Amino acid sequence: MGYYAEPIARLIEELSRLPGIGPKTAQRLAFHILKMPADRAVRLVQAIAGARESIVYCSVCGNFTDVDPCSICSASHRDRSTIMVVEEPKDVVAIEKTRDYKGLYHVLHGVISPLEGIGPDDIRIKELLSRVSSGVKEVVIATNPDVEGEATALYIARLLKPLGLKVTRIAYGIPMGGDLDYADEITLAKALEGRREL
Amino acid sequence: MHLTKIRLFDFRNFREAEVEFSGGLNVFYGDNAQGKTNLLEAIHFLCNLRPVRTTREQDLIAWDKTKAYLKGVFYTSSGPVDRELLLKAGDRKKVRECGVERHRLSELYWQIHAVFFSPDDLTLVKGRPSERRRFLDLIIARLKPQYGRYLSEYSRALFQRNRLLKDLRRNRTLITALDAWDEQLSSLGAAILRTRAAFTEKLFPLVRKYYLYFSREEREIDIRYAGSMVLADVPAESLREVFLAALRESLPRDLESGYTQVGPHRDDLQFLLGGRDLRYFGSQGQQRTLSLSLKFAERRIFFEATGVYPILLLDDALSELDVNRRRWILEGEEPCQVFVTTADLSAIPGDILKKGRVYRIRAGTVG
Repeated sequence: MGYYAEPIARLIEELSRLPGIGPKTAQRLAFHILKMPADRAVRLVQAIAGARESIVYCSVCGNFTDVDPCSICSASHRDRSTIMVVEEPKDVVAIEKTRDYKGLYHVLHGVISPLEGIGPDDIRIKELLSRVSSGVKEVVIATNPDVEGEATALYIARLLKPLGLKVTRIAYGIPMGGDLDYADEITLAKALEGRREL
Repeated sequence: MHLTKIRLFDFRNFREAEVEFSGGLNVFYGDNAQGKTNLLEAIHFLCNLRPVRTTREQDLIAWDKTKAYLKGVFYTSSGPVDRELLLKAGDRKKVRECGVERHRLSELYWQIHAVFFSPDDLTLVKGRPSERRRFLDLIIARLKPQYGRYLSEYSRALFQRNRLLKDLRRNRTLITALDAWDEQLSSLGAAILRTRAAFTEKLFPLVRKYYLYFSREEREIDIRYAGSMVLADVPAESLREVFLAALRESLPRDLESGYTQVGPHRDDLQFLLGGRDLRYFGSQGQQRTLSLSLKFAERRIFFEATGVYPILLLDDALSELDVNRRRWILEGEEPCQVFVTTADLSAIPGDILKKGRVYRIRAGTVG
C-alpha cells in the first residue's frame, strides 16, 4: 500500500527521474502541479510535448533548434569564418549570453572518454571536419578545462592544424573578481602561460 | 596543540566513553584485545579524518550498530576547538567543527594533526611501492591541498589512457587519440614530480637524522626517490618533455601490458644502508627503526610547516627501543602530547610514568 494515489505516485516517479530532482522536490512539484488551475497544467503538458516534437538537432552545428539549419547557422550577420567548438547545447547559451561572440558554433554532444567507451568517432568530430573546408579561418575550442575536455581539445587541434587553420583554445586563468591567493598552482601556471602584454 | 577530551559512542568496542587527557604523556594500559589500539584509532580519526592505514571507515562502527560518534576537544593556540565525527552505515561521514558542519578539509582547523606508529608500519619499508607513495602523497596533500587535485586528475587521465591502451588491441585506428592523453598525463605528472621533489628534499635529511639516532649505527642511511624514469639532473621546467618522451618510448610495452609503465604512479622510495636495499636485506630491527624514523620525520615536517608538533600515537612501539630512546620519545626533547599503548607498564621508566597519566583499558571501558 503506497502513500499516494497511483496517478500521483506515477507523476512523482517521472519527475524524480529529471536531473537535480530528488524524491522530496519531486513530491513538492507534483503537489504543486495538482493544485494548479487545470488550464495551466494543460499548458505545461503541451509545452513539454511541443518542445519534444518540434526541436531537432541542427544539421550544421548540432545545436537544438526548431528550424533547420538553426537561427545562428542561418543568420547572415554572423561571421562565417569562425567556428567555436563546445561540448553541449547549454555551452552555446553560456557563450551567447556574453554577446561578444559573433561566429558560428559546433556542438560535439560529448567528449572523448575511453572509460565510457566514447571515442573520437562517437562525438561530432567528423561533422566538424567536413565543415571547416568552406571558408573557415579560425576554430575556437571551448570544451571544459577538465581532463576529458582537454584531451578532446588537443585531439581536435591535432586534426585541424595540418589543414592550415588557426586553432585556438579559450584562455585559462583567474576568475574575474577572484583572489590570486585562492587560485591553485595549475590554474596560476596556466594563467601565467597565457599572459598578455598590456 | 593537544587533545583535552574525547567522547566515543559505538566506536569499535567502545559503547560509550568519555575521557580527559593530559597535554603530555598518556598511557593506555591493559591486556590484549581490550581496546587500547581502538582508542588510538579514534584519536587518529578525529585528528586526520581518515582511519589508520587502509582500514575502511565503515569498519569503525561497532559491529552490531549502524552509527558511531566521536567528539574531541582540542586545545589550540587560538583557544579550544571541538570537532565531531558522525559515521553512519552506508553513508558518508559528517564532520562538524565548533558546531558547524564542514564539507572540505581546507575549512577545518589546520593545526590539528596526529602521527600514528605501530609495528604494522613495517609495511612502509617491506611492503609494496604503493605503500610508500601513499605515505608521501598523504603528507604532501595535507600540507598542500592542491596536490590532492593533481593526484586525482592524474589518476583520471591515467585510467583513461589505460582503457585506451586496451581498446587499441581491438581497434588500431584509435591510436590517433593517444597523444591527447599523453599531453595531459605529462603536464599533471610533471606537477606531481616537482611537488614530490620539493618535499623529499626536506623529508630525506630528517629521516637520515632520526635513523642515525634510533639505530645506534654509525652508518648513515641513503634514501633515494626511485623514479620509473631517469630524472637525475633534469631541470624542473623540462620534466614535462622528459616524461612525454618516456611515455613515447614505453608505448610498445604499454600496449602489450595494457598499462602505462612510466610515471609518478610507478615511482618508489629506496633505502640503502652500505649499498644494500633495506627493503630486501634489512633485518627486522633495521626495518622497524626505519619506519619509526619515517614517522618521526613526518612529525617534524608538520612542526616546521605549522609551528606545532602533531599528536604522537604509539601503538605498542616501545618494545624494540632501548631505555634511552624510550626516554627521549616519551619525555620529549620535542615536547608534545603523546599517547602510548602497552600491556606492560614496566616498559616505561618509572619517573616518566609518574608524570604521565595512566588509563586502564578493559573490554571497551576506560578506568
